Order: sequence, then structure tokens, then C-alpha cells
Amino acid sequence: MNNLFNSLKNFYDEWYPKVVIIGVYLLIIAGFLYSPRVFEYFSNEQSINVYAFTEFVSSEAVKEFEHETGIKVRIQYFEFNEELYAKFKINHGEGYDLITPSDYMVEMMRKDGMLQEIDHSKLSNIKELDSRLLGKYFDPENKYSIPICWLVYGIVYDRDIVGPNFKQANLGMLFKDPWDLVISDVVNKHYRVCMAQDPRDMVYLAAIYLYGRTKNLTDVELAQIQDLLSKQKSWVESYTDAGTPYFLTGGIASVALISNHRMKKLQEISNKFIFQIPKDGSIMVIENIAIPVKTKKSDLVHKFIDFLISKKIAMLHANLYGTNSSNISVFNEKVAENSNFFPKDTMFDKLHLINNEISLDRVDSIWLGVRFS
Amino acid sequence: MKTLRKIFSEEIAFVFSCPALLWECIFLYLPLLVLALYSCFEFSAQTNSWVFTLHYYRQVFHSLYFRVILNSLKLAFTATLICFTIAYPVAYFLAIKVQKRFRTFLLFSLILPSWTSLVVQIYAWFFLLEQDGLVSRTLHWIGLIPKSMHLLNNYFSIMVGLVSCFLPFMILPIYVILDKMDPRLLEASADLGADKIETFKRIIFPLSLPGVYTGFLLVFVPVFGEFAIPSLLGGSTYVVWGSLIVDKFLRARDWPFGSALAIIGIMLFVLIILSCVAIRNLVKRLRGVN
Amino acid sequence: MIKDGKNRFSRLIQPVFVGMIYLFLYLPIIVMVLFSFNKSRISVRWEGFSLYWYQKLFQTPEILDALRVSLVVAFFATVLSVVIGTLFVVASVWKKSDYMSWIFYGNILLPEIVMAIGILSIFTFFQIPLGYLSLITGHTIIGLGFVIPVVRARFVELDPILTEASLDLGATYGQTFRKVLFPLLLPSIVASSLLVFTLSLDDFMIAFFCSGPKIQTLSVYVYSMIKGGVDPTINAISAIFLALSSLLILILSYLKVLDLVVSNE
Repeated sequence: MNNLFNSLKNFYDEWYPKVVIIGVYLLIIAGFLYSPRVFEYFSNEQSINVYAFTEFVSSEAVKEFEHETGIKVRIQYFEFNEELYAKFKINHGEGYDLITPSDYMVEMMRKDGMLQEIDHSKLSNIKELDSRLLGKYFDPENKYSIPICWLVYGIVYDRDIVGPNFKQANLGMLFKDPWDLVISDVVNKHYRVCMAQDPRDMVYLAAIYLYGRTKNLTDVELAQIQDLLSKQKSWVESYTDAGTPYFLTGGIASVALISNHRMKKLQEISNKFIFQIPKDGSIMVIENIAIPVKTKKSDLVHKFIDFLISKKIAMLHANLYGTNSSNISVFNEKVAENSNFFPKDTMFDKLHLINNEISLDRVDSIWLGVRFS
Repeated sequence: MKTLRKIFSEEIAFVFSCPALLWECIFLYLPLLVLALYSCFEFSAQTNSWVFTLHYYRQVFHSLYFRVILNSLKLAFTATLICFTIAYPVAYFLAIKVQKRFRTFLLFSLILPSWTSLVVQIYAWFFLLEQDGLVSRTLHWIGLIPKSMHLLNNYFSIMVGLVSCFLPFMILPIYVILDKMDPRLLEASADLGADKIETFKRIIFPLSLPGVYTGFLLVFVPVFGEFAIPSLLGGSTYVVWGSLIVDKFLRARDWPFGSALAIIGIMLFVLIILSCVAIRNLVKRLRGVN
Repeated sequence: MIKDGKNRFSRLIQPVFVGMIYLFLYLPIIVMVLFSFNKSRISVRWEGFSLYWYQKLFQTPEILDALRVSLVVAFFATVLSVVIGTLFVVASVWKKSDYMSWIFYGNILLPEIVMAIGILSIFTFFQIPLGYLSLITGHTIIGLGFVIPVVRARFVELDPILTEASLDLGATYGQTFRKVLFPLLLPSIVASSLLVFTLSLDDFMIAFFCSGPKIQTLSVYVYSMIKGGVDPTINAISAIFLALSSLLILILSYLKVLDLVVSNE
């Protein structure tokens, strides 16, 4: 009995100092790693923390807002909506005062109770919003989100080579086997297209092409979509967003799926290309502003939202990023400049929004099946 | 209770070696544990607690995901094999045939490309193999291809990129081993009447095996986890284990599934390495019998 | 030398083959650097020597930001890994517990991607903010995997005779370290710090996963640029990268540390 006690004591004597040393080091390391958070916590002046996608607001606009109101704006960026959602799942977005979810993400976050109500009476510029963007499925009364900008996918092709073969762009240019399209032999042999990078965009676009709708897709229909995309692979040059101008200007691909704001950038490089919204329909994406449920700076945030949807700032960003503004007068001015980039009023009911009916898992497994076929 | 100061001065060796050990455990071994935990525990909203589940592992095994992992292993193995076939003659030449004074320079120039960033090397091949790149234009000029083609976005360009980036890692260990080899052994072998091929088979190659194993590890390990080369040189059509992990972790944010993928990949990979070690020991024992 | 009964032709095969391999390794890099001085944007049309793309590079704030991030992270990661690595080696060899060094071989045996996602998971699990510090942490781990074998190899050569002699002559451990061992270890410490610095600058995997929303290292930035296709600015960045690495490798090979690294892995 005594022996056991002694050996325990020896063990304790040997290890106690080591544990203390480890403890001290752990404290130092923890302090080192958590320090940014501490700094953030202490600088609590009049400021708001924004978590936004990358081309949301320019530093010019931020400076002007800070100058006008004295409220400091700190922005952190995310690339995918899923990043936003994952962060919010952990702690309901504590620490952030403003976020920019896309359409389908607003529905997800709203249903999970992550968003705070927006007080329309505090937004003086709200009457300037494009009514076609309001009242959508993800937020029927726009109680939780305000649209800030939107974009639409279209088809871009070379005016001289592919152009003469098509009077009006349609989704068949992407999805039909090139030998079934009535094109000249020269163009036919080297017909390659560029598709989008996000598998969701492609699945829904295929759904529009095959069935004219993006809702209530059955499993059989999803399997057919997977078949179509697998077949399409043989004439797809690349699945890319950023690389599309490169493939087009290099003549490597003849036709591409492109969003209208990227088309503006392409236009700056070369004017050989035509952009058209396919007549059988396309996808539009609405980017919104929302307020996380845990923020306590609601007043300051409303001021910033009001600032962002004002005509002057909306114009600034429309010029800078090329996205379609939610401010109706800005949008109309842009349409007047170049109506080809924008859908006509009649086209609007053919523009579909991405919804949450197909889970990301399902989309990914369709996509894996396509890449592996 | 001893004071802090006393503790520090008595256990000073531990104080100095602790940071490195702590760092290693917290940031390498603990993460592995966390990944393992992520992969088999699910937060169930019903019971409001963490529940053990093999759901994610089943998901990986019963689908295309497993085929992707096998394909990646195959790709890595092929790349390593190709590197070995090219590296051995080069290392042999450098270690045995080249005069001493040129060796440092040649070695230095061998390593230089690999010590720049991987993305720089990838871009270099991208630049060379693209539509209007030098290779395409030259082949067109010679008449081998009908028109200037985009040579990227296929298996071939991925393999070229992999071999080009990792070849020096195979050459170097083999060179080091061959360089250290005692020339007297070769003399003795010649004296005993063996011709060049015999000498190589019985003496040089077996002695160089440790270098070969090192080279194998130095190439197989990184290539297996590689996703930048398949993604940039192969277009996003070629799916590799690495790109699946990137997708699950950064885009879909499905960390349990991503961790399960990672762990299964690692286990298969460890299996391969262990079987190579087993084969090596078997070979040793057989030769010992001989 | 073994009697070589081969004719001239087959004796030429080996050098030619090796030469071709060197060409294979160097051709893309040479072409890329060459065309960074090409005025034209299109690859194969040479339109005259020009430093235009280098100018453009220095005028792009994102590139300079990324460069700053890379350099800061590399510097601190190097300092940290060299300091704690050397301390570990010295302390553990003296205490005859350097069998612990095998723990550090995991750094090289594990695919870097798994290390990267592991570190990312830890950081998210403990809600540690991602940024400069998380990057430095990740690169320090990689650095440790190189510092410890390199320094240990040299240290084991010197010790224990030197240490015993020094202690016999009346010096304390501290003095022994400062006046005797440190100067002798300095070459391998400098060599391993250059190694770690280069590795950290060039690292792509860990930075890709763990750098967080706003900051980017140069490698990650170049990666996202490549996705947009060919752009001679990338040629210019790459040429500078190459120049930096050559300089570091030159110094390294002068310190004759290359075989040390390889023979101890």
C-alpha cells in the first residue's frame, strides 16, 4: 500500500512541473492566436462589420459613407454563400451587422431564424427599388432582405463566325450536339463551348432547356439532366467563369455561357462578340442585403443600406462592377446605353431563380456523375 | 508548491523542448484527431448531442467518390513510376559518369525549377502548352497537327506537369545514395569477373534501394494530395481526391463528409506504403536466403 | 573503372538523354521568362523587348499586397520554426530524449492537403480567427519538419564530445550553448532558415486553405490569376519568383546543405 502511494507521489512529483510548463505555453499560444478577436472586441466605436461577397461595395463608397456619417465600416469577404451559411450556423453571425446573401440563401437563412427584420420606414430610398425584384419566393414581403443588384446569364458568341448561323440565341447552342445544329461545316468541326463553374447553375439551366421550369423536378427528370450534361461534356472546352474571355478571344471556344457583368469586361477587350439572353429562358441571380439577427446596431445598419441603394452610389457600383442595379432609375439608364445586355420586359417571366428544392448534395452527386462519365 | 520560477529553472530542458512538441501536437496530431472526430460524429438536432455515425464513410464507399480516390492513387503511382524510370538513369549518370567539379552546378540547376513555387511551374507549362504556345505552334509548323490546338485540359498535360514538377525529388535521393557508394565495391566486382550488367544488378541497384524508397515517398506523397495541377492543367474535368476535398471543405462546407474522404484517402495511402515496405522486407528475406 | 566495350554511339546516349531531361525541366521556365519581356500580349509574336508587364505588376495593388503578406508570413514562420526547432534539438539531445524527433517526421509523410484541412478544422473548431497568425502557424509546422532534421544532423556530429569537453572545462550548459555550439551550428541554422523561408514563400496548399477571407499570399493570388488564362503579368511575377529562389538556392548550395536534407528524410 505504501509502495503504491510512493510511486504515485513520484509520478506526481515528476509530472507536476511539466504540466505547469505546458499550461503556461498553452496560455501563451492561445493568447497569440486569439489576439485579433480581442482587438476587434475593444474597438467598439461607431462602426459596423460587414460580411459581403467580393464585388459588393467599393472603397470609394465606404470612404464617402464614413465621411458623411462618421460610422466606420469594416468589411470581410466571402466567396460562396455556403461559407456565409456555415459561419452563421455556428453562432448566428455574432459580430456581423450586415451580410449579402444571394436569393436562395436568403430563404435558407430566413427559415433558420438567422435574419432580423428590416424596417422599411427607415429607408428613404426604398421607393427607388425595381419592383420586379421584390416579392420573390425567398422573401415574399421583403421583410428580411433588400435586393442590391442582380445579374442574368446569357450566351456570347463570335459575331462573324458563329453569328450568321443564329438569328436569336437559344439554349440549344449550348446543349444540342453540334452536329444537330444547322451550322456551316467549318464552324461545326471545331465547335466548343464554355459552361459555368458552379454545378448548380448548370443543372438548373439544363432543367430550363429540357422542361422550361426549375421547380418540382422529379428524380427521373434529374437523371435526364445528368445524361444531358454527360453527353454535353464532349463539346465543352472548359467549365469556368474567370477563363471565359480567355477562351473566347483565343478562338478556343466558339460559344460560351456568361453573366452579363462579365460580358461588359469582355466588351472592353474585344467587340467581336454578341451577347444575347437565350429566348427559351435563362437564370437570374438576385444579390441581397440582410441583417443578422444578433446585431445590436440596427440603426447604423439601416443608414448604410439606405446609402447603398441611393441613386448616386448605385450608379457608381453599376459602372464599376457592371452588375444590374436594383435602383430602377440607374437600371433604366444602363439599359438605354446598351439594351442588348439587359433583358426586355417581356423576357422577365422567362428568367428563373435558383431555388432550394434540389439539395447541394444532390447537385454535387449529379455533377460528380457527369465528370466521371 | 514550487514557485513558477523554480519549476522553470529545474526543468529547463523541458521548457526548451516543449514549444516545438506542443506546436507539433496541437497543429499536426490534434487536427488529425479532429478530422477523425468530424468524420464520424454528427450533431443530431433531435437529441441535441453528438451522435456516433458511420454514415459519411458509407457515403464515400458506396459511390463514385471511392472510384475517384482509387483513380488518384493510380495517377500518383503512374507519375511516380514515370519519374523513377527517368530519374534513375539521370542520377546514375550524374553520380558515376560526371566529373566531380561539374556535379554541384548540375545538381543546383536540377533543383532550381522545383524550388520555385508550384504555381509558377504550373503556369510555365500552361504558357507553353496553350493554344498559341510554343509547343502547339511548333507541332503545327512541323505538320504533326492540323491547326494550333489547345493542348491542355487532358490527362497528358496533367502527367507532364506532375512529372516536370516532381522529377527532381526522385533524382536527388538516388543521386545521393549512388554518390556515397564506395567505388572500391565496383572495382572488387570487376576483379571478380562480373561484367557491367551483373555489377549493376547485384551490387549497384540493391545498394541504391534506400534512395529509391526515399524518392518514391518524396514523389508519391505530394502527388497524391495534389489538386492544383489537375485543376489548372487538366481543366476542371479531371477529378482527383485533392479537388474533392477542396470542394467539400471550401465550397460545399460539408466538413464531416470531407473529413471522411480525407481519412479514407489517407488510410488507403498508408496501406500502399505499408505494402511497399512489406514487399521490401520480403525481397530482403528472399535475397538473404539466396 | 569497369571495362567499357561499348562504341561511341551508345556512350553518347546517356549524356544526350540527361540533356533532354534538363531541357524538359527548363524549357517551360525559360520560355515563360523570355516572354515576360515580350511587348505583345499574344504568346508567339515577339514584338520587342519591353518592361511593360513588370511596370504593370508594380502598379497592381493586389499583387503588392499579396507579396507583402507572403514576405511577412515567411519571415515570422522562419524565425519561429528556427528558434523553437533549434531549442528542441539542443534540449532533447542533451537530455538524451531525442528519440522524440521521430514525431516531426510526420510533417513530411503526410500529404500537405490533409495537414491544411486539419489546421483549418482546428481553427474553426476553436473559433480562432483566420488571418496572418493562422498562416504563420501553419508554415511554422512545415518549417519544423525541416529545421529539426537539418540541425539535429549537424548537432549529432558535434555532440557529445564537444559538450563534454566544454563542461569539463567548467562552463555551464548555457555558456556551452552560447559560446561553443551556437557558432558551430550557425551554418545549418542559417541553411535551414533559408530553406524554410523559401518553402513558406512558395507554399500554396496551406495558404489556400488557411489564409482566411481577405488576405492572400502570392502563390494563391497567382493561382486565381491562372484560372483566368494567360496574362503576361503572371510571367513577370514568375520571373521574379524564380530570381528570388535562385538566389536562395545559390546560397544554400554554397552552404552545402542539400545532401544533408535529403539523406535525413
